[in-house]
Amino acid sequence: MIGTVLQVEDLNIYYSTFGKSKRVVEDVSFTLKRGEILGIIGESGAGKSTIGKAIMGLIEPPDRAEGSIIFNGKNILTMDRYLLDRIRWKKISMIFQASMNSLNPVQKIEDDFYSIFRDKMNIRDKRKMEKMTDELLLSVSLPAYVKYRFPHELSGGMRQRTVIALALTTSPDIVIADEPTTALDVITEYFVLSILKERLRQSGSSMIFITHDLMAIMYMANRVLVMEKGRVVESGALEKIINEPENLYTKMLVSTIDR
Amino acid sequence: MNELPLVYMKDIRKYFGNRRNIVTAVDGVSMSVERGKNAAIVGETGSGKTTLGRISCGLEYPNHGTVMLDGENLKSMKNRELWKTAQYIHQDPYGAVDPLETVQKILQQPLRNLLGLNDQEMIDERIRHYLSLAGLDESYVSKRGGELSGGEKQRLLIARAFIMGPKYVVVDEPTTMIDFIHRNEVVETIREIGKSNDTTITLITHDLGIVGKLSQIVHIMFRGAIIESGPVDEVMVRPYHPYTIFLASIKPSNVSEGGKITEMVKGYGRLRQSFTFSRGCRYAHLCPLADDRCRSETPAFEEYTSEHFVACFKPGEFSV
Repeated sequence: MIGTVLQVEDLNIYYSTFGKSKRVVEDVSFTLKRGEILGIIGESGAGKSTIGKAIMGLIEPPDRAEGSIIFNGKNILTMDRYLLDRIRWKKISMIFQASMNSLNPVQKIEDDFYSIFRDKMNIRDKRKMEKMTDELLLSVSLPAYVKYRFPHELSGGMRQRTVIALALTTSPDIVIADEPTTALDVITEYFVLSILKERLRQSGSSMIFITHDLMAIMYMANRVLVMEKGRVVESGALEKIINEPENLYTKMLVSTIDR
Repeated sequence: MNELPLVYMKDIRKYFGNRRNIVTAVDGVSMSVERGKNAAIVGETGSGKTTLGRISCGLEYPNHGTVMLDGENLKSMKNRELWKTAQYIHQDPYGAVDPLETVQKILQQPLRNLLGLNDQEMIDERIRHYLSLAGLDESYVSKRGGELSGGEKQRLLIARAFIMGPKYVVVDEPTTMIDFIHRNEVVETIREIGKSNDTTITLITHDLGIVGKLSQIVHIMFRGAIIESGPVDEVMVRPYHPYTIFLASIKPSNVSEGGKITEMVKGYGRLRQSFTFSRGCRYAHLCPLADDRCRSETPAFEEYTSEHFVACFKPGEFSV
């Protein structure tokens, strides 16, 4: 299909704990169109983050994933390591849930950028790398001195914006954002989201936006999947989900918005 | 009945950092918490709300100022007495629960060590009672901290704080780790357990939505100072300070691309990071109404209408 960047079909994911296997994602199918922001919403344990992990190819034995995730005509689930490494971060990148943990605490922010430049974009000119880092930081409204800082020297909002800049460094086709603004206060959250949206528009990337925060999804998403206990219970355009929810669970979710 | 309020704080100042690089977390705050009237401290990241809350229950000592807890000066209070009177529920349940300890042990330690209870049956009875108040059943007693989910850890922390029968509990951001549907449940649990225990609660949060469900009095903090305070109904319905008005306007129905609030948030976020406060109103450089007076004079924190205090030269003039 033209305009489709990602096609997920009949995705089942099993987690294995103490030899017992448990199905955490059941028969999930959806498509992601180019430039679209798809919101996945649901309570904790609904399997939202697991879907994000599967798209990044991070489900490894003893856990297993069945079905297909088609990206550029190839199935990510059956792809070999070498190919996967070439896609990861270059074509599909991810903004992880806890920004403190996704930045290496013993290296400066610039090193995070430089390793992406070197490994994924094959840029080795020091001066060019420095200049590109400054531009990327500026694009998320961060001053250039941030690159000389360690993660713990930055505030939560600054770290979150750094992670956004890192995820969009390669202008990937797909960005997966897993609860990017949970634990930020409303003003900072809104600011980070507005920057994220702006950067997405610039790079033309599609996004899968995983959250339980309704304000974030109302601001960001074009289309929404509602998940409950591993299943997609409702999906459709944002306006439809918000104004005329059909499923009981969605109704409850929507009723918690104080308008 | 004691004449002093439960918590009385006067001119609190707190600094962090070293000689070269001083951060002022709390900058001359006076505040009191009346018995039976739950308070809330609301503010953005770095506003000093957590530090103020920690000072109010003796977890942190101020560099300047007095704290009186239940009629006694905190300085002269023994730790043992302090923890019987005041308890604190941590922001991060994952860090605050020992993953290797059983729930039973986590809950009975304070009873044995602080209250000096020895009768095992009585202890067990009390543990069961408080677990059920916090919404966990008996089967949790033998579980270990690491086996609990984030929400269950949160409930365990609630039980542990209230099991002592304290007069005052500070709850720091109880809902950030919890999704929207369960948010109200947890707040409801805290409210009920506080009511049945006759405990006064101070809620620290950045979420204006849950303030009204737990508290009667709200204090809005900005950059180390309280800029507006009053009864929740009053402050939520008729906020006077431009910052409070701005904060209250950020809600799902108002967000839209290219809207006025979106533009304000963008400007606000950009201005915020390049700023050090010297004199005048601390909100002046971000305030759309600011004039020369705001930049040179510091507005006093005064009663504007009954019980509704605000530190602003132009209260109520701003609207979005």
